[in-house]
Amino acid sequence: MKSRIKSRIIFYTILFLIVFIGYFLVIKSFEENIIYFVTPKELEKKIYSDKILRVGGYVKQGSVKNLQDLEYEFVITDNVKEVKVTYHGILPNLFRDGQGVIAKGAFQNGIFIAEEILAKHDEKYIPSELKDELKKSGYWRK
Amino acid sequence: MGEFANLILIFTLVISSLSIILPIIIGKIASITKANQYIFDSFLLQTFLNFLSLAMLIYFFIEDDFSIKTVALNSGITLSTFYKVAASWSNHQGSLLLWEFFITSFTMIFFFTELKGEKCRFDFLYYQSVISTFFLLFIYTTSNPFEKLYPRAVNGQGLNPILQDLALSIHPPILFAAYALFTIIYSMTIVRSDYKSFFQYKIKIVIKLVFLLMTLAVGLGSWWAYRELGWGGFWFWDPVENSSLLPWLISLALLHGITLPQNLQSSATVFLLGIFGFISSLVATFLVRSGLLTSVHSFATDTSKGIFLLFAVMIFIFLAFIHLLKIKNIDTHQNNSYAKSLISINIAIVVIYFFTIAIGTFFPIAYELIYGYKIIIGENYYNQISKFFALATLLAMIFASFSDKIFGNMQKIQGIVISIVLALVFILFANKFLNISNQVALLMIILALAVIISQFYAMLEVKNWGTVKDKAAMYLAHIGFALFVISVILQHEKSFDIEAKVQIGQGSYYNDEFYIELEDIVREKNDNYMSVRANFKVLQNGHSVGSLYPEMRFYFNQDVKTNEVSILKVSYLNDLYATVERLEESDYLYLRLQYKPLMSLLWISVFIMAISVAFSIKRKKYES
Repeated sequence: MKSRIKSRIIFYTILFLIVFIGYFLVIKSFEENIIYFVTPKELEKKIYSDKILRVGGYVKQGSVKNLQDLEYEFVITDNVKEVKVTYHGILPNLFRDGQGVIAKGAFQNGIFIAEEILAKHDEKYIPSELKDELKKSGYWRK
Repeated sequence: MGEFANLILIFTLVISSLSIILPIIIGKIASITKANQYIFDSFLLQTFLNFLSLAMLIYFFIEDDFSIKTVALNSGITLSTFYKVAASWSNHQGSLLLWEFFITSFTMIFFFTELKGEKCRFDFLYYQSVISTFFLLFIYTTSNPFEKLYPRAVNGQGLNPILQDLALSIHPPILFAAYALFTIIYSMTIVRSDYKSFFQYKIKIVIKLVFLLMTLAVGLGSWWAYRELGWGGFWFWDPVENSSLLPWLISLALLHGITLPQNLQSSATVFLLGIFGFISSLVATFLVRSGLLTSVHSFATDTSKGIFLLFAVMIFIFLAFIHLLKIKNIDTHQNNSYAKSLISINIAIVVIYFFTIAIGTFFPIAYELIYGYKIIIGENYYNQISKFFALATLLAMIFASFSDKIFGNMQKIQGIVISIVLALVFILFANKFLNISNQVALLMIILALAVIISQFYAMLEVKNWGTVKDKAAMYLAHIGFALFVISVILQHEKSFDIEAKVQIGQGSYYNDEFYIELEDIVREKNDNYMSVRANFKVLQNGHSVGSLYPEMRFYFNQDVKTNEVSILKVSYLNDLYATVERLEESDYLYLRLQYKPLMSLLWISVFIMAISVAFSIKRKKYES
């Protein structure tokens, strides 16, 4: 009988430890990994320096510049404000003038350095986040 | 023809709605036997009608009937017959019809093979009728596959090129078969709480089948993503992917839960899991279809479908919880507390993991509602969390190797220590070649190897295999998981990803090991697409190992650019993965080259996990 109680205590201690450590890790990791989605307009209101962000909007017509091999510069706009973006790497399939894109990266000296340009695998597809924003500002086009 | 199919759908809906009300009235007025007979007849008719609907939909696809909207949007004249059939369930409407067909037909199969002479037959069919009615209502009101198109289209829009793949053609039927089996588990869970305890039930076979199918479906989906999307990864922690992982986790917990000796706590645990399996498969569909979340996988979205499903989720949870209190306590005094503790720990780990994934997936919706800011949870969150859970799981697996009663306490300790020490020594030597510096990664590889060693160690001790068939399945599945962890870690630590501009006739070294030279660029114009194909010569450590032919395609009709990935197997299990970019005429293009060590082992390990449960499926004997 005693050994049964002992093994129970051990069992519940282990279970409690797993739950506790798991919970602790989840909360900690969660806070670190929240990534905000903003449009160029919203960048005016709040300053997000050195923080990983996702900036969404349309690629401004004629703004894409190929600085050198695999080094691009372009402007993301929501037709209200603009953000200059630089990106090193191969641009995704759908990337072109006027296309809705999301760039993930951070600001450095006022320029947004993108580490990832989000590729959707359907060219007609516009991310729902972006759609809402564009509807709000009245620039949603079908 | 389209109108006729539509009529059949309405007729099925009427039949199934009636079978919710009429049997109760018949039971009151006439006799229970009559009510039984009625619900059975009605369900059989539904099954047949669903079969007819599905067959007609597939027929419309094969015959290119573009007066049906679903066909016009998802198929085209030039498509091969195989992909026409696959296209019929690759879309939202068709896949739901397939799901409904599976629900009714599997219910009938389960009814005939497993429920002979059982008292709970009526209740079971009744709950399945409720579920089936819900699906038919959902199909008819929000996603009717037989919707007409005026005027009739001359040609269809064609099937999205990246969906034209063997793995993705069989992915929906496997996934929806698993989801359909979840409904059987749900109904049986509820029904059994009214009768005897849950465990003695043949539902075990269904749970094992669900795990097998879910693993295969998730595996096939990620295999497809790896080969077709051209991003080089196999898992992106995307909401759509997460939503298929959630039901899989439940099936995993259920698989372990059914081995628990029966008592009140374990009955309640399995009861809750059984309900959450079905609910999570509904939520998964809700996530994919509602468009509330941004996914890299685009699907047709419509918020009304999402709200409908959310409403249904609440009803099904409510229905289930009425029965929760009826679970009876049956203590069978099977006592193997060592195994019991381990299984409980497994369920705890899996359930907590389930909620962490669910929180990460759903939190953005809540955050937006409360604070008005749009956020996503970064990939890092999932990676950090998964590391911890994988470590805990591996540790538990080493202990689980010796869960059989034949092992005494000393033998257990001996086995565990020997396995860990052997793995440690082996990795310390092997790391001279592997050069892994990340300590968490190293720890995981050591534990994974210890799992494999401990399984073999335990297998050597087992004398009589006839009685431990379940154990054999466990050993195999755990080895599969350990191999999976090893291949993921090695890929994480040893892969490389290089983007470069390459010119015809020029070659360069990548990672000192591979020399790659662009020999030629071939431009071709086909029926519906233009292609640019590069031809690379590959040398590994100075020896020729083959060629890479990555390709870019531009489809005129759909105005889509796609990457055709080229994968070269080097030293058996490692992948060299190449994609190219640049449609314009020139003597250079951009190459993205990725090295994926042990990639093939990853697919093999997933297959091992899936197939292992097949060894423990036995129909005849089930303890009472």
